[in-house]
Amino acid sequence: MHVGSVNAPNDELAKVYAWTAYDEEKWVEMCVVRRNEIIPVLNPDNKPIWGN
Amino acid sequence: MSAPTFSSAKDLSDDCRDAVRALLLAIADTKMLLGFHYGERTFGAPALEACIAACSMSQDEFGHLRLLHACLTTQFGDSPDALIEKRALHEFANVACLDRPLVKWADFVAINLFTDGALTVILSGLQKSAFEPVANFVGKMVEEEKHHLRNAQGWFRTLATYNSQTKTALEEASRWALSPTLEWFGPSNHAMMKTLERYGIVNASWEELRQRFLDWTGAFAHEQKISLELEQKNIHWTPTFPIDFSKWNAANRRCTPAQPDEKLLYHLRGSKNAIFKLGEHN
Repeated sequence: MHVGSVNAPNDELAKVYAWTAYDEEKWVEMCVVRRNEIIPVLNPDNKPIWGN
Repeated sequence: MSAPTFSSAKDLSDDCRDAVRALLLAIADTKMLLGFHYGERTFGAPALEACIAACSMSQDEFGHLRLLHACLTTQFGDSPDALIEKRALHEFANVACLDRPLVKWADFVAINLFTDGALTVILSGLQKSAFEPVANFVGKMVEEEKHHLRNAQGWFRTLATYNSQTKTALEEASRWALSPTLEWFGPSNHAMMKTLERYGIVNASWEELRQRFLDWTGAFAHEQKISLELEQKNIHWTPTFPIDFSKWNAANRRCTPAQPDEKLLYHLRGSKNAIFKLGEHN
């Protein structure tokens, strides 16, 4: 389940920003994925809704 | 035979009760001002995500403050109202670099790493404390503080490597924050620290806790090529600047008569909204 996105200069801050922005639920796990590692399934030619 | 534990402050000896109260108050005061400075960065941080992180850390610090004040209230007969509203400025036992408004983002990163980091080292030293009321809540604090340190380390690495301006600013801010933080630790051979050790209130000697802080920050800054006034001797890091503890005041953990800025406390206390403090006695 994708819950949101963050902009961060490095992986370490990406983890902090993901946690501080999206910690409202008791997540079993939370993962951050770099945008360029995402493979869109439905609209492979469009930019994803979360932007750049 | 396991070491004795204390379920209430009433079970502590007089000297130990005084030492525990002073330590909890110093941690609470520092968290209160950290919470204020983090909260101030809800606006004006370099990125929206950094604003959210600062705001979140501020909420954590104020949550911890509530827990500490609750403990001081139930165990030591203090009242949050008196602790925040009615104390003289010179009684606040916070780390002195929090006395004034922060000037630049590097100051924020420096207090995040050094001052918040020092508190986390002390809090981890209180895990499995013989004083049960503290042992019961300190684990949650340490867990939340991990995110604060990750934020600090992430920004420290970023500023250290981005360009020469950010590196210089970080170096200056780090030196500015490190010295008062070590002053706040105080002299390891002080009777108060020895009392905390003797009764198992802390799980290591005060000197070990202080050294743990120095070894972690010294090695981390060195790895980022940030020059602090610390040098490595054998495996340990030590300050190269002297701290004169001869006038160290155990009540406010300072060597000088410094105190928090009155305007800062005015904002923090919500003094201009005093008439809206419903249900509280003036």
